[in-house]
Amino acid sequence: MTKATFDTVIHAPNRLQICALLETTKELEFQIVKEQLDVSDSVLSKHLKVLEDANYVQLIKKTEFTRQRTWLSLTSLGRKAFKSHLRELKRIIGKI
Amino acid sequence: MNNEKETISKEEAAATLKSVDLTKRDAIKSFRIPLLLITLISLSYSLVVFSWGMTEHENMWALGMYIGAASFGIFVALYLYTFRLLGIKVSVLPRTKERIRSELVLAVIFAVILIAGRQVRLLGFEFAPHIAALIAGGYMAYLLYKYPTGEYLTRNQK
Repeated sequence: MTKATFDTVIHAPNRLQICALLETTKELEFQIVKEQLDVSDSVLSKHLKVLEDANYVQLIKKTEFTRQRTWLSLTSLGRKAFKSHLRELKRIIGKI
Repeated sequence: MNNEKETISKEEAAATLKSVDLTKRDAIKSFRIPLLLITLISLSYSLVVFSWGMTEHENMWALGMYIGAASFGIFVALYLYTFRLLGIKVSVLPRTKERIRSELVLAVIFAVILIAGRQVRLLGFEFAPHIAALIAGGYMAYLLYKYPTGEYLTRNQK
């Protein structure tokens, strides 16, 4: 088990929600994440850029059935960082 | 990002964990596939379990097993395709240690139900395959409904 660390990149509310959503599955399309978060394209793109720069999220653009789709997934580093952040939050509230 | 604080209060941490749980649970709810597809997958799996329990050298239940297995494969493929069209890719193979562990436990549970249905019938209880098929189908439907993406979520906040 990796050490619990407070991650300021992940902790921002929208980015935390993005990570939580991506943890529930292998990949999600940009549009689905946008609908779940109820934010605009630009807001989501801004947060994704931060997560992508930290190498926590991977963006893959693919053309499927003549339609451009952007698939988002958590990298293994992102998964570890998210879990570690949740562990740190649990440590703060005294659950571990 | 340099001005972001690196510590938070107990209350804020609890609220954050609660919001993470809520986000995941809302997402899982909205990712649920149609009940018809869940029913078809569960019924085809039940048919496999029931047919396996009833198969003898001279009867036709082996055919039921093949039909059940083929239907199960088709419906699972349809399930994955439906998800893909909706913008969700489900991992078929487990990626994390927790998922490998839970998939192994599930594989053992389903194998025990499958084998028990047949063996108990051979011991003399003729309704064993019926019960095994009911349990296997019911459990399959529960899992597909509760964990549609296959990720077993743990609750962070009570």
